[in-house]
Amino acid sequence: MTALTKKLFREIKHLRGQMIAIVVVIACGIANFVAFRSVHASLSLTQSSFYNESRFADVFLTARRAPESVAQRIADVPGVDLVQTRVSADVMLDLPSVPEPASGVILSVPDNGQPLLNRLYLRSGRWVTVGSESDVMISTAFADANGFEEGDQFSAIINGRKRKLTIVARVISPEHIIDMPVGTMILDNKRYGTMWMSRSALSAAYNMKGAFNSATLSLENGADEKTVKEIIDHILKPYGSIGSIARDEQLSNRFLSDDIAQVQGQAIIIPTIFLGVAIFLLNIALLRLVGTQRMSIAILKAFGYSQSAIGLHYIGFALVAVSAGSIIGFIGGQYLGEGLTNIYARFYRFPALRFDVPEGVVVGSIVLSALAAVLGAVSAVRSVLKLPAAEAMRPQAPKSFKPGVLERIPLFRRLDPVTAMIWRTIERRPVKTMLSISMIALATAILVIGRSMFDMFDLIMDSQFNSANRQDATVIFTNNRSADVDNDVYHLPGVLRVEPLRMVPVDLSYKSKTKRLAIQSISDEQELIRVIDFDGKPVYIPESGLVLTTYLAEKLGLAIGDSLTVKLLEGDRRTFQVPLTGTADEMFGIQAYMNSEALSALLREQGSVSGAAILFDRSTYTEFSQKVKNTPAVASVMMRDAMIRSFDENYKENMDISTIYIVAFSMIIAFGVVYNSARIALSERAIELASLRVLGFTINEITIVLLGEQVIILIMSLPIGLILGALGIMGLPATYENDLFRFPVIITDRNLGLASLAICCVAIATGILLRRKLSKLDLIEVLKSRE
Amino acid sequence: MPHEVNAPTPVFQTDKITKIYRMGEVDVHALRDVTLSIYSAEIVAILGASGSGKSTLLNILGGLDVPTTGVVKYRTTDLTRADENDLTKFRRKAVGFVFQFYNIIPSLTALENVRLVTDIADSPMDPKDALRLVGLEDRMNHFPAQLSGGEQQRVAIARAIAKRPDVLLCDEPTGALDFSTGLIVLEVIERVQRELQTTVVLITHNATIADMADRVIRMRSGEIVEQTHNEIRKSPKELSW
Repeated sequence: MTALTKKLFREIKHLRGQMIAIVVVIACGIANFVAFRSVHASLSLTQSSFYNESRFADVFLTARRAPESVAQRIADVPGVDLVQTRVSADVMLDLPSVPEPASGVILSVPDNGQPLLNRLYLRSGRWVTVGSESDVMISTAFADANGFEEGDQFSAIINGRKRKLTIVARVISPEHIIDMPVGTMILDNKRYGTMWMSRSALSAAYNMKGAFNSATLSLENGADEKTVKEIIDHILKPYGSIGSIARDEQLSNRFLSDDIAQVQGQAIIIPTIFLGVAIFLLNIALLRLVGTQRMSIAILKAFGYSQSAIGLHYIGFALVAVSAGSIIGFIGGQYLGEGLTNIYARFYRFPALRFDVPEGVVVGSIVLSALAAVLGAVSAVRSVLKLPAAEAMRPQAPKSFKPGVLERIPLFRRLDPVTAMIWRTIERRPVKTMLSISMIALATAILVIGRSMFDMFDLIMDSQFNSANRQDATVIFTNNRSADVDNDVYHLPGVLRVEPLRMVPVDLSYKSKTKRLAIQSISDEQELIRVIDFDGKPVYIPESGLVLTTYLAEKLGLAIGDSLTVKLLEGDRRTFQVPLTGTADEMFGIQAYMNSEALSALLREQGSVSGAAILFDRSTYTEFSQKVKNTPAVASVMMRDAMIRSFDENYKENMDISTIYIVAFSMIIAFGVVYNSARIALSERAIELASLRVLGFTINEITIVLLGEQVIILIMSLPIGLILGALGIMGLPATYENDLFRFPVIITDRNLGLASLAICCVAIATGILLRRKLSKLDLIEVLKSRE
Repeated sequence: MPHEVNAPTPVFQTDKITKIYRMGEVDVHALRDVTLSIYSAEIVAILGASGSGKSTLLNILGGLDVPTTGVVKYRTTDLTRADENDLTKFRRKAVGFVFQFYNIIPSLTALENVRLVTDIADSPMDPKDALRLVGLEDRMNHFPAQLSGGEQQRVAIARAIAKRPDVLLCDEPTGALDFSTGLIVLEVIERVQRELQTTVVLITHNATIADMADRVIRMRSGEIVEQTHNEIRKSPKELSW
């Protein structure tokens, strides 16, 4: 080992506090890079290979009932490759594992084996017996949530008859990688699942022999999806189709693809933040090191060491820190990646989702690390090379100072010396100060934005379950019922109040724009179901006309008073004009509401209802559940308690994990920045501080002198960080906004307070560490040394 | 030792102090059995080559360091029994330091450097008066970078005396200065001593400077080898080296 290398390692040991802080920040950056890049790679690879192997369909069709011959017409449409028809049925389930009624969808599988499209992956068990009315294969998510195994049984109400079903297999379908019903935002595999049954058995039960009500199709390469969809929609229109959907609108695929895109974004953003901070820290630490070693550098130059040898020596500091950080980060990244993969595996069911670090990621992290080391060392090395040997041998002249900008203001003209010292030091290096401020502000903003997700969820939950939907249960009937169904519902155990529900599928058009949705009836009283705006206030639904969400009205370019074309997609499929009489600024993107009587009048129906919102006596929860489970007329039930519980089960833990994650990561950034700048300040000002001690200042007094600068930086950073965080929160909904949901902007005092508190804790911890160092300050040694 | 008869209570009194530094594997005896007394309002020069232990002695007197064995008394206080807080208080109230490298704060003006001390002292003089005393009334609002070495050292002296210390401890105050500037600094020290009746302990390796002292203590290898009394104190103007 050369003497210069020895010097390098000894000095790194001496600088260990700062080095550790930098290593940790780099390790976080690399760990996140490795974890997110790898998870992104394995998710997208797994997605595409599973889609290929299972022949995931391109277009999904539904109809009320279409004869099988129509399938041939669809297959003949130019651009269509394969068509697989099937029978799909929404069913109510009575599961041994949950007290509430559960629901699900049964899809048929062809009697001759695997479907042409959306082939099933058999996780365990056997294929259904052709014609068996009891054999079902169920989704693994549904099975796992309920602890079901092959041979287990549960009941389902199939076309009005209660039947025992026997689980023969657990399967994974590309169509249900995340298995959740359309139109909800809560995953609840305990109470919802997809099942597959023999086509002949299911058609027999639903009177669908020689017919289908659902189909999937694949497209030929280069086919124009939009045109194909239009032609098919036209073909299926007489058979009660409300329109086909393409793969990118398909629920499971959309969730998965959105998440994959999000992981990709995180793989860029998070490492960039950490490595940026690390580069900044390396820069200030190395510049300081070079500052204290002017004499040594001059001597090395005098001895004849080349510029490049000395330059490399200082790059060595960065390389050691970056290598150590990268190795730790790389190892940590594997654990982090495995943990992330496990979280994704809980939501997304693939035949296999393995965490692998692709070669590209290994290479990428090496390149990133090298880049960080070079960028981190560049300014220090430049100043080493510029240093003339002879000048460096002399002690540095006192740094030149001038009165600060602040002191031009009369109020501050006579600062006491200690404050003046603190303030002038800050003002002397505006760039460094500003960088420190932005880093701490960034850490604060990350905390604020990260935590805001939970505030938002709380708000949505509160708004949905306490303001908008105050019913304990929502039942949807298998077919529309007449208004007197109220009486039947009142006969269920413990029912206190019933509000009828009507959903009418329509096409809304204004000028050239059309939107397909369901108009929901809202009763006059708005006792249970209400429309709630972002401020939590109920929206008034006028006695006539349509109320649309503000988002939808804007999308269609509508103003209040404009007349829309409404085309019914059920019944007699009439078209008529309805005026827009109100807008609702609420959390759902695309919704249309109408007063229930106005809607009945429009439909020329005498109070036909599709479901009911029910308030019941909570002491009858079990009896109510039991009774509803056995009511054939009920197609599905949503129980408020169960939904809240399932939300807690599915998301709470993840939210806790990500809170810890966000808090830990932003604290590391904050600590790295605060500790390093304070530590550097200590090294730069050791002589000053020792002089003060000699003059009779106490340790506490010099601690104030040293930390005053950090405190001012912190005080300036916090509001900037909070504002940045708030701006970030305001920007967030836009990135998540879609036709289904719009997210409220919510900035709580609690969130801002917690973020500030967390950052202050970091600062206090740094203060304590530094005070310990100050109490060990060797006065004589410091005063003797002339840098 | 005629002074011991005349002056009953010394400002400083050391009794057989030793200081041993452990430098890695070896012990370095910086002081060996040093016993001496320093009296009120005298200028004592401690003369010796580098490594003779004079700075160690000064640091111990000033409460910056503690001896390994032996006793140091400041008036009636036993400094060897004092803890860190007591020593800080002692420095704050009683001692003014002047170092070879001025150690003034670069971010503060001359006046503010002095105020730094007067702000925490019990009955300080007006910082401006202190600067006037060292002849810097015209440079009060200058920052250290705008002052010459001699001026910076005079700021250090003003800062040291502004609290009206009982003792002024000067460690090679002219070590970093050229002859004529050094002379001005010595004149300032002498004037302060005369006007404020401060006790001055002055460390130097320059025998000529010792002529301005009342008493000269010569040290070698951590021991006092000779103590002499100057019958007539020379004024700094009369010195030349």
